[in-house]
Amino acid sequence: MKNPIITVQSLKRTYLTHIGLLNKEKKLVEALKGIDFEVYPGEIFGLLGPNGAGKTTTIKILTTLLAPSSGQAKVFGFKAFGEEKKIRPRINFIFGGERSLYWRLSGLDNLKYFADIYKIPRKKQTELIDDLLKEVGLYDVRKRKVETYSKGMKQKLQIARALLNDPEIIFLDEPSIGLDPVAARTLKNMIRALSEKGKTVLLTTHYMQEAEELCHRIAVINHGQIIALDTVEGLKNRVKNEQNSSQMPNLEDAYIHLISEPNIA
Amino acid sequence: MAGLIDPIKRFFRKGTFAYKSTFAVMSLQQYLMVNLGAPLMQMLCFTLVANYVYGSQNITTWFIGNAVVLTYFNAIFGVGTHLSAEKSFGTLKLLIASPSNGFNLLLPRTLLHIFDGILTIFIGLIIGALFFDFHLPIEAWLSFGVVLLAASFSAMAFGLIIASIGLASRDLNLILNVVSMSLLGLTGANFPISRLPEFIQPISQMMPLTRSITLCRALYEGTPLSENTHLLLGEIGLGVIFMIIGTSLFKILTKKSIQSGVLEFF
Ligand SMILES: Nc1ncnc2c1ncn2[C@@H]1O[C@H](COP(=O)(O)OP(=O)(O)O)[C@@H](O)[C@H]1O
Ligand SMILES: [Mg+2]
Repeated sequence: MKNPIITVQSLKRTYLTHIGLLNKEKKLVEALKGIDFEVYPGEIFGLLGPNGAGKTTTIKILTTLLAPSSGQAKVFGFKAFGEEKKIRPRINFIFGGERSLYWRLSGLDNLKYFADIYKIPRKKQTELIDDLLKEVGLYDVRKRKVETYSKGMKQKLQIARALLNDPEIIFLDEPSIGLDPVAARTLKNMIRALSEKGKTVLLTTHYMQEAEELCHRIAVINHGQIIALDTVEGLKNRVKNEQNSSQMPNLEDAYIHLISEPNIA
Repeated sequence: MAGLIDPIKRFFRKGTFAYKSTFAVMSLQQYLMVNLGAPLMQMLCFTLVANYVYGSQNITTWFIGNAVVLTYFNAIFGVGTHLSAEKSFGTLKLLIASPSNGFNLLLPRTLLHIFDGILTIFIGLIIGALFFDFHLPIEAWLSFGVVLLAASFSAMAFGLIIASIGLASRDLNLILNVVSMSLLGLTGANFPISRLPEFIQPISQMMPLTRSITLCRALYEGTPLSENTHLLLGEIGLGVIFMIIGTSLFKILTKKSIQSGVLEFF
């Protein structure tokens, strides 16, 4: 087997929060309680789990936007906190929702701006940006301000933005949230196409069908712990055996069974 | 060749887009009302109050001070709010994770504000010529322009420090207002520095615009710029120091935010 492109070992993250206005009480939230997993080049790796499970925290750490409290998070063999300069040019990410774009600029100007931020040579920019706009289907509306875009269009623009630096790994945190079925399918096709081009994708989602269709392997995370990690078939088989059922469950049934199990740790 | 020109083009485009995307200019109308109208009204008001308090023989002095100090508006509310605006757009993380996350992120952001600041002063001066008997001999305009450029540069560089503080603070509005007040009050625009309490006077000397206001008044009174080059160099030097402090602060606070998990609002 190839060497992993992402390695996570005993990764923990706690947040310190303050409650109350005057009598500030400090509270420690344990978002990740020591998780381990590896992702291999070219894989579409899914991270599934209920709200608050720790998915976004994991992605933030791997994208160098959050430091681990303890344990290891390595991308391309480099520490996500401490060696982030070696990682950043080679990855990109999308956090779900409509933010993370400049609404007052046109779609085209958004891409030009980020192309400059990524120091892409001017000579290459025009062709690259046009190609990306065509690829995500925004070429005809490229001169409209982003504030006039629908959710689906904004999400497509995010994807174009995330591909500007031709990243080797793309992190997608709930990319399909709020998309209509057509837009969600387009997104799915794009993710698959990325993987076929050899890109590694790490994805979180609440849509089981999407995960089932896309992911090569899935980690189920709950309360900051990974409670299962396997291929879709593997997860289904495990649940089938645990339930002593003769029928193969679908991923949704399997997922619900897994996260409602009492903590195994 | 492209290796040399690309960074320059990038610099200008980053500056323009950052200005367009964060500063509240949606239309010419809005620009005239908010970005020009409000500061100019304030200039008129403060000049008239100062004139009432100090007597009318030196109204031009207070007018000049209040015109030059107008750059504070772009510095504080334009440059100073950039990073917290990026934070609320959700774009800050994209910038931080990009290869342009230091000087090359911050510096272009001052560009259009520097010119916007000068434009505001310039229109202020025209108003002064109409209402306050402000007349500058032709040969002094070039020197005046140079001083205004230095003033606007150092004010915007100062704004970068505020912008970086905005990364760590949830109460940026309070800071913006306190700093605005200090610029209006301590730079000599509205109050003679020599009459400020002694422990405050050194603070005035560390503020942007203080030197430029003195310089502009001197130019108006006929002292050539060549006799006050130390003030001009002082203002430019301060600007450079502000830039360095602003960028270092940005780096430090970014790292701290990554550690404490507050790079984003959510
Ligand atoms: N910046 C933060 N400050 C305090 N607590 C946080 C912060 N971010 C996340 N948390 C908490 O950490 C836990 C995991 O959150 P998150 O990783 O966002 O979960 P998920 O993405 O799986 O919904 C939750 O309990 C959440 O409330
Ligand atoms: Mg999340």
